[in-house]
Amino acid sequence: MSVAGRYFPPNEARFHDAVAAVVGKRQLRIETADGHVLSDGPARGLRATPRLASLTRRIELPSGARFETEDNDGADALLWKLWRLPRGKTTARLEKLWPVVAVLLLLTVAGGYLFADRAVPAATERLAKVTLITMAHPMSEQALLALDRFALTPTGLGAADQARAEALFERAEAQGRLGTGGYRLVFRGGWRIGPNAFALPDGTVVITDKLWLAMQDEDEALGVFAHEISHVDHAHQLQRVYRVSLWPAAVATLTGDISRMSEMAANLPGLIAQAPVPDGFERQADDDAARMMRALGAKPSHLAALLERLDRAACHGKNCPSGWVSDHADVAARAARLKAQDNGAIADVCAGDWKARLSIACLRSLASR
Amino acid sequence: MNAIWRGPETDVATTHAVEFRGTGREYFRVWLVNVTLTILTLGLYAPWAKVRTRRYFHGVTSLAGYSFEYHAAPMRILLGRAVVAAALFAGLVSLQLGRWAVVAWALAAIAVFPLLVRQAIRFNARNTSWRGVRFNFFASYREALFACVVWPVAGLLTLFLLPAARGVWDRFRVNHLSFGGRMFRAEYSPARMFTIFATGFVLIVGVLVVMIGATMGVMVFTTRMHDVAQHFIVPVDPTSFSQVFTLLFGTCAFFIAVFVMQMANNLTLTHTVIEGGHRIVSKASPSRVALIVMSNTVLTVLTLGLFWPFAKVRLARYRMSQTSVIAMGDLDAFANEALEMQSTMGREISGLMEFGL
Repeated sequence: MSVAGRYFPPNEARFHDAVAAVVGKRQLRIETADGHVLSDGPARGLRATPRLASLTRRIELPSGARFETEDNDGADALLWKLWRLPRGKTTARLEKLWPVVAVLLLLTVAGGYLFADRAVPAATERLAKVTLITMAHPMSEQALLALDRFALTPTGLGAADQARAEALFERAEAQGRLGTGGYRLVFRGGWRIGPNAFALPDGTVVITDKLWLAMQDEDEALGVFAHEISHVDHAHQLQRVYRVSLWPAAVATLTGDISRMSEMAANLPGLIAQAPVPDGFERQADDDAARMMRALGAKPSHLAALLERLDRAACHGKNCPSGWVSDHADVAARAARLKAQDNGAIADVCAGDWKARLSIACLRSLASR
Repeated sequence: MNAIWRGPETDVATTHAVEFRGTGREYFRVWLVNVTLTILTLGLYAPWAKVRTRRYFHGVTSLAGYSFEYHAAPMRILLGRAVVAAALFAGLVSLQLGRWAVVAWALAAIAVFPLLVRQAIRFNARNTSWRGVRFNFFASYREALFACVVWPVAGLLTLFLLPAARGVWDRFRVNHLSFGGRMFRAEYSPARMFTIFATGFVLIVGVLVVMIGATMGVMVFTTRMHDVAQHFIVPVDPTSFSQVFTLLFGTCAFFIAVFVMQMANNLTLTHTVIEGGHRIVSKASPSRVALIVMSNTVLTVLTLGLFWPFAKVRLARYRMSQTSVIAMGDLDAFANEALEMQSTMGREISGLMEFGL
């Protein structure tokens, strides 16, 4: 077999049309069409460029001469006969099988997404719950001290109000994972942070005077307490901290290099993982609150009413100050979901066998999540 | 192609158009394999992917019937990136050591930066060849420092020095480049670069004035003629209005930025002369390039990145098809002489310090 191409003598930019063939014992002979031998030599010291798409293939001879050909398959066969492993053959094959590669890429990306969507939250939840036992108390003490210095003031509520709140809190507590006595209610002024309540990892629930005064019935108070207790039970605060810090760490460990690509990879999941976190947590806390409220004989729709009232009060001015209702765009959805739970939990459209998990309703709920 | 005319002297000037025969279809496959292997190897394949990409674009670009070649060894690029990664890691370490360590690191980084840039340019030049003749790049540290640090910083601080910085950078890239021992040279009056940037500035200000005028007009219209305005859909809601404003202005600014950059490219390329009298001409229309870049961006976003390889080929094809070389005399003889010169000087010294980025 022979391969047609162009022969460049050593140190010359001009070429002759030539044919290359393997003769004898791994000898590469290059000759013109009429049989005039241009080069004849052993395979030793010969260098060939790797195959890439339809690019011209180039074989450099030890003498400094070059042979070029457009016939990539022919060049591969020639090299094979010379006992040379033709480079670039694997990638050339992959390029031919590009649909397979595309599927492979899709699977990799999907795998990465699943890792971000499932494995990271699962890992952070585990980590957060392990931390809870050993670290939660000192962390919460420090957090409350800092808040007292910068955002909170002593409470202005009277003893009667506090006693009423404590009594309601005790009822809600009984529904939590840690049970009665596992949580602690703290009153603070905090006019700067508006009507607000938040949970610290060790079970401390802080409520501001403004929020207490905004409540119109006991069901609303039970709802707020149950919501915060759910945050404690799921260690949401810690989970957030871990999620934000776990991603860059994971990406850095995996890629191990600081090129542009990994920089982008380190930022993207941060954006993906960070944004939906509070949303998912709020939903979980709302659902838990609804369950606890029903157990206590209260109506989740009252909590929804409180949410909407706070949203109206906070956002009718020009700017929305921060408060218990931090993301007002989401309030409508949260309120609707709470109202739907007055008579029982929302049916999980994804529960059951694989058919249910692949149903349109389930996929839609996942997409909206 | 190949328009022939008599020059002022006896030499015959021949115009050789640069040919580009790459296709989006073909490069898409190369790119897909590159991306997949890079992700699967957690980034380790990136240097190989880079070399394959460059080899492809060099290989499909040809001048006077001969394609360009790219010869870089990916291992050298991996080495270079490892060096940079180590330097960045040293920066992280310095953060732990205190303020003076950070200052020392930052000063060292600024001092080393021009060396890295020069090394990267030299690496790419030395690994690029045409008809077996390699390019090369020689620049002193001083020149690199001024082109990569001093002028860009001065340009960004004062803004009106930006065109000068761009001119210095372009001349740094061109005037130290050689092909088989023949130097490239770009000479033109700095005023021309200022004119280009001034054009861009005037365009931006013009767009801004028109848009602010339109905004005022809409506001006056909606308040004065409240009854009539109700019947039109006018984005009077301040948030959506500012979004529309930002989007429109951003689009115009993007267009103008690409436009100005291409004008600057044309200026430098068209004034580039290779020792021996050969000249380069770039006729790429700045507005056409801007339109291609913008439509490429939109399509790449809409296809979640899948259009990227087609976009890259599309832009390269247009730019290359508008570039040509006016050769004074015989290009064959020129290439032959260059090759001889190269072989007498010996191949490039390939030491440990030879790395790419």
